[in-house]
Amino acid sequence: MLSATYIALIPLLPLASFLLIGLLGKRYLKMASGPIGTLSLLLSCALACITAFQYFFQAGRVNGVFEKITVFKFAWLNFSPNVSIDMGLVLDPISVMMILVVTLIALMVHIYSLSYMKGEERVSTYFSFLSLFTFSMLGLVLASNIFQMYIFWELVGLSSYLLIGFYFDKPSAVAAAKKAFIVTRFADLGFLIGILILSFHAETLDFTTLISRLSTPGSPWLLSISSASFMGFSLLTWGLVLLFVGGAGKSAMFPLHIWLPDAMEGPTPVSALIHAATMVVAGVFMVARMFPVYALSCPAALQVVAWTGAISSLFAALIACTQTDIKRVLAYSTMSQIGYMMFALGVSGYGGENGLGYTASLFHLFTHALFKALLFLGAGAVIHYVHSNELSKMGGLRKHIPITHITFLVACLAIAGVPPFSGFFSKEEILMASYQHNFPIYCIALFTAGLTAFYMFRLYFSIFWKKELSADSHAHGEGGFAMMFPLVLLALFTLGAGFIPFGKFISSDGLPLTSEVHLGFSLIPVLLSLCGIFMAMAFYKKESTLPDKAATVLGELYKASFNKFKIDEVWLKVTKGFLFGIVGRFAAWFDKSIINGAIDLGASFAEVVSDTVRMLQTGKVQDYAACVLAGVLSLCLYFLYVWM
Amino acid sequence: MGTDFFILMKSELSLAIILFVLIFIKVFREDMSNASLFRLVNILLLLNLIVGFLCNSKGELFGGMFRTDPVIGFEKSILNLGILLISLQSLEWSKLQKHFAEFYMLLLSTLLGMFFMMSSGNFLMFYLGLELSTIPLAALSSFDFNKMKSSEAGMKLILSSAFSSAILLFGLSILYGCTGTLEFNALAPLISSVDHLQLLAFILIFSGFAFKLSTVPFHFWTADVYEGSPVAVTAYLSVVSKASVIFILLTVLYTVFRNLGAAWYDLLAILAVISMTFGNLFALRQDNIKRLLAFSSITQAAYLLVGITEGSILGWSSVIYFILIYLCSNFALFGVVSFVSARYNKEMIADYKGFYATNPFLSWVMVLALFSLAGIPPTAGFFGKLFLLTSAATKGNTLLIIFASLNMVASLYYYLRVVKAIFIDKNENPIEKTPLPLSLYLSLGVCIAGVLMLGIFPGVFQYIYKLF
Amino acid sequence: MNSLFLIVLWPALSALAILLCKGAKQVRTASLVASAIQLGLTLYIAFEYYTLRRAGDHSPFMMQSNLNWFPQFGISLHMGIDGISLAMLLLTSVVVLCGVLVSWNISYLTKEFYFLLILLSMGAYGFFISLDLFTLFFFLELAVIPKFMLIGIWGSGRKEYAAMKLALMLMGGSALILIGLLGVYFNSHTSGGLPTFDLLKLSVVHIPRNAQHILFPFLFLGFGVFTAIFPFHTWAPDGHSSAPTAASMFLAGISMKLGGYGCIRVACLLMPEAAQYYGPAIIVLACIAILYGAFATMMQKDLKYINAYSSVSHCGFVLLGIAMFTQTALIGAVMQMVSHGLMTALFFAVIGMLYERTHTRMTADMSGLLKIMPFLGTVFIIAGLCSLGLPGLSGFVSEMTIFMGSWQRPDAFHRIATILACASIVVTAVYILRAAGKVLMGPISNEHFRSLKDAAWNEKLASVILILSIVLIGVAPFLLSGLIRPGAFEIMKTIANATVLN
Repeated sequence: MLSATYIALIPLLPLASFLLIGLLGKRYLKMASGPIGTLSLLLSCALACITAFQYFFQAGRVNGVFEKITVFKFAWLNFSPNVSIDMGLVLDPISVMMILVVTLIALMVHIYSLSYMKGEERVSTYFSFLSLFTFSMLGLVLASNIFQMYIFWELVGLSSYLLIGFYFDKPSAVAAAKKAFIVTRFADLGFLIGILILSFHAETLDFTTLISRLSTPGSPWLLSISSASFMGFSLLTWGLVLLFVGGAGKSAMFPLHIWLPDAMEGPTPVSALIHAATMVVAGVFMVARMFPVYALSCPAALQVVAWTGAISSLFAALIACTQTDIKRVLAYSTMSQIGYMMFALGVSGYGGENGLGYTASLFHLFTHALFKALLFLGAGAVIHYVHSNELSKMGGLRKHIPITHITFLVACLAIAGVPPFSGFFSKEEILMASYQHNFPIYCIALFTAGLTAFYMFRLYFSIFWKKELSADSHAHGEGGFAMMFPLVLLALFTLGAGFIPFGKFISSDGLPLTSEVHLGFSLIPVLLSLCGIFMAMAFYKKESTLPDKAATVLGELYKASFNKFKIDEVWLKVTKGFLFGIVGRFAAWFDKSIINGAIDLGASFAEVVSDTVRMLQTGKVQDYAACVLAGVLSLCLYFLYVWM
Repeated sequence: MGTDFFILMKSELSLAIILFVLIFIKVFREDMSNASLFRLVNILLLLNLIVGFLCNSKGELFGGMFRTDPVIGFEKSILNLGILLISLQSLEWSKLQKHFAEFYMLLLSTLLGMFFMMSSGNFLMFYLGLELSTIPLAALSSFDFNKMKSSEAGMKLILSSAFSSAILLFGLSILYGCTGTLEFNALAPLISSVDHLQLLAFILIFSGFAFKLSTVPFHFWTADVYEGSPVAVTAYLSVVSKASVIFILLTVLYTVFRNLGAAWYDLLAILAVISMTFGNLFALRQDNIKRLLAFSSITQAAYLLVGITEGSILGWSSVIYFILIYLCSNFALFGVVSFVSARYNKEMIADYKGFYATNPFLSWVMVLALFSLAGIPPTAGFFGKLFLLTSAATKGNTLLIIFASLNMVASLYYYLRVVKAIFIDKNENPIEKTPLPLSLYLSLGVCIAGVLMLGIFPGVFQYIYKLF
Repeated sequence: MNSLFLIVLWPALSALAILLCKGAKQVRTASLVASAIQLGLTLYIAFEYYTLRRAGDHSPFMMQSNLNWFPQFGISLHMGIDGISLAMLLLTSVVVLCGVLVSWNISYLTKEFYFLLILLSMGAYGFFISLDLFTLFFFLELAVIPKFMLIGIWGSGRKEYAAMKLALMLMGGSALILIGLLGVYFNSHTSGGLPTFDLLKLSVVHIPRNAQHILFPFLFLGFGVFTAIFPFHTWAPDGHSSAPTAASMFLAGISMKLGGYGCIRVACLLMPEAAQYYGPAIIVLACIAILYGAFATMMQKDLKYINAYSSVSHCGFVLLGIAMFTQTALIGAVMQMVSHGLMTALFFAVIGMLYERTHTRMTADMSGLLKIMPFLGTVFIIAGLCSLGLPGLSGFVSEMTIFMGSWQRPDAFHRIATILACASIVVTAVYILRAAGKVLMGPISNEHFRSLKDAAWNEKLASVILILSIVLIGVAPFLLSGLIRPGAFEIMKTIANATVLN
């Protein structure tokens, strides 16, 4: 049955490989580091599959409900008698689903990287960082304690930083890594304060206890936190919203998304793993983890989640339509899709049919991980082939790299929501959930779906059609088996994943939820998607002037989208302009002039006084005698008149 | 008159004997070289030091005019030690002197005066001792005949002393007018703080002491005299002369004027604060090391006043302890300064730049001494100073403690300036490397041993404390 | 004779031994051996401590020994340790060992250098095991002058100015402490009997409230100067940046901890009522130090200044943790002291190593060093990550403990202070990553750098020891927090009792 030993091995194997490769790799294991990392992931993935099988089909369900099983935990750092950070592993439907996704995608990326990173000088560093990331991500999803989650949350941030900045001699990569870390750190501040608020009132950091205390109506803990208020909102709202800020940062929600497009400076497989499939959905995962509290105790916070998600998804889709860097388009599409997941959670209720959004969100997380990883790996293959990220350098590649072409197409169809690809099913559920609970968001979602189809196929056509390349311009062919295998496998998964009865396994309350696809309901979104695809085809299948014309027609909107709505500039103003330029400079100036100046002034004052006092020493005995006399007299006066 | 007489006056007698020996030498063996004179006198002074430690008992002579007890005996031994150390350090300087025997004669007669002063039981005796100690000092100050500054120093000292003696005598006469006696034991019960005239007398007498201690504003003579005098005399002035005054001041305050406790407590506190503050201010920017030490001695004396405020055995023993430590540290410093001054005629702080590169031993001696003066652990100065402050703290005068503590920081600055010159500053032509005479090694060794051991090993303090 | 005495005796003996050595090589070896033995000694003490604890000894201070020193003044050689002091001792011995290792290339006045270094460490050791205020003060001051000499003689840049400023400010701090101590001494016989400096006897004496209100600021600010409390922190940047590597390590790693330790052990324990009274003021100062230090760091261009200002910011956490008066925050404060000690020592060490090679500390003059010196670059990054509070390293656990502890004060004032303190971790991330980005990454700007060598054995050893300690605390924080808890509990009990009295 579920045994702590081998479940613990799932995260520990990557850790071991990180330590091994990281410490010895550079000198002794340079060639072997890739295979070692891959092997550990393979084992880890196999163990994850076994665990998933056992959990979903044997051990997990108690009286028909999926339970949270804490495999083991120990007190890692005690704060006060009740509150401690425990390190532990907890299995429940979403964590099991996540370990599957993480290990699977990580395995694919490892295999892919074996070929993609071949010849790289710092290949062992690369693989050790990948292992570190996988370990941290697994630790995050398996966390039994909200602080443990925060710890691994930070660690995935670190691995992301290290991997984005992998090509550290490129200043843009360094800047991007820095930006990613700082922006997410800023968001994590919200997470941290959220934890502080919640844990103070719930008097625990343990997920299971925390959730049950804060979601049981009438519990003293819930009363205490909802009765305390700050600036008109209850502390529960504050806590949950701040928690979500952390999630929004990691998941690149508007307006904290600015790091994600830049993060594409990292090696492409890394983008596939971290910035598409796993780390960026941590925010969604976190909200899902805390979902009972959001849904049952604080609908207001859930509204924030919903609208942030909706706005982000639309916003990112708009930007994605005009970008010319293939990876950036994919990055914005990732942001948009995560926005989908977010608002799906946001519109969801708790339990039964109401919880459709919850299931849909995680279903979309699952399918998105597959097809987005596929897209990125495909993009990697393309970049590998043309040595450029720019769409303008591509075109007509369909014959040169056929496997990539087919798999890319599969992924595009999936993300566009064309049946029977997996994206269709998950997106359909999300639309259904939002239709039922929040009509404005449904409209946004619908429009975004159309946009998604358009920009994805804009990408597809620009890469693989548009212009014809002469056959000999690129001598080397598609990447080797190691690169193609993950593409094909992921394409197969993308094709098949939609048919998994997801609601049976994952639902807001642990009870199976059956959802069906209503043909009538699906008609509009599918039609919209097809519209988008055809429009993209018209614009980009052949070289034409249509896009330019459209751009002139749209005018300002096009420009704004092309400039990413200048959000980066706003942030830059706030940070560089205000915080660094004014606050920082003021602090430095204050320190140098006022504080240091005061000390120096004190010293020179003493010197001046000293020089003045020394003047008293005239060298004349009569002056001295006068001083003595004056001294005696003043002493006499003091004692006879003051002291007496 | 019996054996009692010899035992009680043994310190004075032994000094007198050495004086006679010197006179005999001067008269009958005028050709005796400075070096052999130096050897002879030092042996005699060593014997004198040993004699000082033998059979210290309590007693009175001449109808209470002269009295002694183990504490006074120990105090005299400290001064004996001081004179021995000065003598050991003056070898280099003696080579320049024609009248070396006279130097010793003057030195010993002023010490004799101090002994009488310390042992006095009557203000008359006290005054006699005071003058006996002052006049030869003025002669000593101007002992460098070929230096203008030295003569100037002698003049200034004698004039200023005369002035302060006048004030002191005025106070004494008022006191006598009020009470009809000058005897310590008889005076004590007659004095009360209600009588304004007595208070006036006390202030005048105290001013006389303050002059000797060079407390601000009675200190102006100090810097000029210290700078002008030969280094050995400066050392003597700054330690031995001050110590003797402090010792008798303790007796006078704690016994004669004990009824005026509240008055002298305030007086001491005020003078201490003023002295240490101004002493430090004066010292901050001095460039001549002897002048620097002059002002540093003003500050150190102020700390002694702080300790005296305690008003009982604890303060008394802390003061004696501090003086012993101060003697060691100051003589260590003066030993080096006098050697360098006599050999190279260099007395500025700037001259010591790069000193460590050529003379590591002397540098360490100087630095340890400076740290001891500044009250930095593990040197004994730290203990000495803290004991004084702690004694004062038992009275709970926060303001006094605050001033004293903060002034320790200010004084650190100018001590560190010297350390900086020795260790840190670079110099193209530093003072050369020089072999040291054995006598200097001996005296510096004693001083440094004192600086390092007196604090950490509690024995000496316990000994002093148990004398009472 | 108690094994605790060896802790101060051994440095004294080894300092003497160093004086007797001939030649730089002998001196180096002797100091290395001596400090390694010292580390072994502290580990042995730790072992003995655990053995006693396990055997059921629950007295607040273990392994006590009490010798009369100057009984007339109530001064005794009273030594003893609790978990807090033990943690500090371990920190000290690790940093000293590493300091000896990184100074391997000192060629000018080698003997004096090591002599002063060991003397300095003796001050710290003695300070941490003293249970008598006089001896405590003795050891505190003992550690000041060697710093002056180390900076003045072996320093760089404006060393004379920095050395003088540091010595005077620290001495000023200790003068304030002295005033406080003497005040405590004066008030220690209110219940009759002789006044005393003995900490344990004092801790049961109730010092009158008015006296506490006067004396507490002296003591706290005095110790605060050592911790670089705002606005008395200005010795720190100049001092750290001018000091030779080992001295910087020692200054920031240990010396600043003397202050924090004193604040806890002396100021707060003896005057709990005043401590609570002044708590908010300290919190304000601490918050200013944290944020202001962080922002000031951002503007620095010299690596040592960066680390020095960030030390100001990090030590603000210590003061914050102390002034919150919850057990958790107090534990956090001590953990932060240990963590910051190790981390900043590592940082200064690696900055020193880079400086030795590139002869510059300006961030603008360096770039791409990670490629040339992967080992040093990695060490730099690890130190930086610890500074910005990355989980798995010691900085994170200690900061989080402080935050959790601070959050237990539910009123708006303390909450806002905590949030401000939390916010600084973002700023920290900014300046650390900027520095790392500029120095280590990017293209190699200076072709001369290509010929530079990576770390030598001694540098590697020092870095590895420090990193291992940092990681150990970061991965197994329960070891450290468990060690500190009983001591913190005792102190909190006193403070809580004082609250009841009010």
